Amino acid sequence: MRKEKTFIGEQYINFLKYLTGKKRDISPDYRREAERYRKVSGLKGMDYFYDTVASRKIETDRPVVGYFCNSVPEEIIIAAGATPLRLCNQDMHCAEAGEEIIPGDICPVIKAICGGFQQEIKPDILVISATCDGKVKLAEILSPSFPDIYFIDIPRNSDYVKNIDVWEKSYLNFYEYLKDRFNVKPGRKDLINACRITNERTKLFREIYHLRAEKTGVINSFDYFTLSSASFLLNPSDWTEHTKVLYNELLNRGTKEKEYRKKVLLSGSPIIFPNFKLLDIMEDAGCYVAADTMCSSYGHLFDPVEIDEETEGGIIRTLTLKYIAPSICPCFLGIDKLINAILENVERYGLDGVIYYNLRLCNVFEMDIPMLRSILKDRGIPFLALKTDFSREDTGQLKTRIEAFMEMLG
Amino acid sequence: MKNRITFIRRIVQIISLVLLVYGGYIFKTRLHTETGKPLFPALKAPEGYMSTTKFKQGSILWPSGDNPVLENYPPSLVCRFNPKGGLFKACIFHFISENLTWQTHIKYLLPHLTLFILLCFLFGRMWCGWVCPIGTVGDFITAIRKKMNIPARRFPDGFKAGLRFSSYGIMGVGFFISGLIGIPNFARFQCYWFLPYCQICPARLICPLFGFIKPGWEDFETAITSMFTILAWFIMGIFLAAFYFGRRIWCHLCPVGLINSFFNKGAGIELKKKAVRCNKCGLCADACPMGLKEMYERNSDGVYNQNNCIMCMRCVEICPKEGCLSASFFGKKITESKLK
Repeated sequence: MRKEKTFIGEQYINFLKYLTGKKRDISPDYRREAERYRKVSGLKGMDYFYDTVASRKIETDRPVVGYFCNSVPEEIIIAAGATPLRLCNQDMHCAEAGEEIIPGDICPVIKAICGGFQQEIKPDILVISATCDGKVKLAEILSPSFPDIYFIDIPRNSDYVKNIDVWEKSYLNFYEYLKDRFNVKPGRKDLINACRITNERTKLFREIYHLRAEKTGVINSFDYFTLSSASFLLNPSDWTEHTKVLYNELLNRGTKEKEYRKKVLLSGSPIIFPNFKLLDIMEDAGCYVAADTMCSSYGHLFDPVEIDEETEGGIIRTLTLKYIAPSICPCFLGIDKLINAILENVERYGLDGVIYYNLRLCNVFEMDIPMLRSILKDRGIPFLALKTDFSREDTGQLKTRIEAFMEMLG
Repeated sequence: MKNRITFIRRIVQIISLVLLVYGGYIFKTRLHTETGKPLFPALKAPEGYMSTTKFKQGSILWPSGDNPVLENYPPSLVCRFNPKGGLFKACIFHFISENLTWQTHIKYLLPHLTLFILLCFLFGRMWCGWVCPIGTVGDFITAIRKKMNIPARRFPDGFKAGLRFSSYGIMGVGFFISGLIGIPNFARFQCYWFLPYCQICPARLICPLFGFIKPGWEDFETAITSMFTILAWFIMGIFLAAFYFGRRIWCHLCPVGLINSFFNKGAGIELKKKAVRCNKCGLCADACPMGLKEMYERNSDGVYNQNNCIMCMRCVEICPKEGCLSASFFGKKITESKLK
């Protein structure tokens, strides 16, 4: 990334001042929201996660590597002795702040990420992967204020056969960069160890995922998405440790089948704390999110690293098979993965329908809808596509549509 | 355990290696002596064969089939260069070429061929992945490479197809020469051209080492034997390099594997894919030691036994999706993929 601050105009200087200087404390909002959902949940194990998402602070003495997208390998960052921190943000106030520099017709997540740098979290390095256009250009916009931005180049086709060598090379370059930057010499033992840590997290997450689908009402969708949002901020080992407590609590918890009318699969754009508007409406309508294919939970935590050969190059190669090849992000070519994931979940857990959540202004998510609709129609699975953003203005309209959908399910 | 199938496979490989190489010492059952009765009619060189050819006893071309000491102990003659061979000729290529030269009557061949085809029908090309001593030695070399932290070299599909094409060529030339020197007019060439494939096979230099006898690595007596010895050394070098850098790339070239591979489709052992469970991560294709991609590429349910598959079941083992890939034996599920 370019380090000379050559293209800074007046407006840009104002923006940078705004980012670094004025600090608006948004934590009261977060705390209020967290309190609200904590009361609903009634799970003791969730306290830690609600505290984490409310404070949005990370305690670590290691360097922090911030990243946006799911295709940045956490294992490499951990092996290089740093803490990974996913900066994806869906806060309404952050999005408003980001609008000062980002034009209005850009995806709200990009705006929120940009505005989110107002907060306490300041990563040492920012890693951006070439998934969607917005994030690529965001890297350019942020480059004068962040001297250390690393860009991982990924081709758009997520076919293993065609692009595995390119992925491998770009991950290896990233590994070399981190080694240089932090002046460390991680060996393959560090990589294996990092993979073991994230694999434990994956294993536990899958158990919760299956438990949620099989026992209706065992964990409500607020708790579930808070859990996944907390994994952005927490060390994988911390997350695993605290989720084990929660998992034991869930095992002893009975089902609440009477409270929910129907089980659905939620797909589409990510849902991150505190943007639980849709979940609020769905819970009110008695609609249980039994499974999901979102990149904030399923895409982030579901796939493990399976090490084929315990060599440094081999591990980095298999990391691409965790992060890029099975990616269900619509930025990549390969909707068949998303279709497989939806059909598998619906078939396996006997779900009643599919709700597709499309964040306004994210075009690629919207472009998946026609194909999904036709495929699900062929198989007789009810499908509802919703389009909304962070603001709460369209709550009434969404509520009507979801309730009508529930009526249709019977 | 994390790599359960590979662990079992390694144990089977080691047991097979010991049995095939030292089986004669372990089971001292005499089957062909005056006192015992043979299980199968032994396949040996025709009467008077030794007197018409100019083989020297102890030379690389000495037909083991005529030596009662070498033939007495089962379970097998895995390779003609084994110290103690036996009844079943495990290397099908050796078996066919030898009998082409000897012009053995079909009624003697039939029990052996039937056994071979039955085993192939049951297990397909499992020989290569689970039993073959050359493969076991190669896997050991691969393990050394992994310890040295050198990533595997991967080859393009076209190269592998070329190797398979060459394999047909090797098989054709090998059988042609073996058949040709069986014709009485050409019999005088037998002392040099007997079993041309075996003479250049890397097993010529490896297998005798297991029996602590000297391999024929310095047979430079005539121009033709020198040529074969130099070729054997050259191919041995390729063999070591292939297994060191390229996992099982060698097995695309091996004509024994080629003959086995004809039985892979329709074999009793089946590798199945349930397409809806697939998340297209490509781990099955990446971990396949033969570098096959069909299991990854297919988008519908079915049995995908490929010709070049050595049935090591690494794909089933590594697949992280529950029930996506599975191995079954005549419809009965043996194992299926799950998260470790």
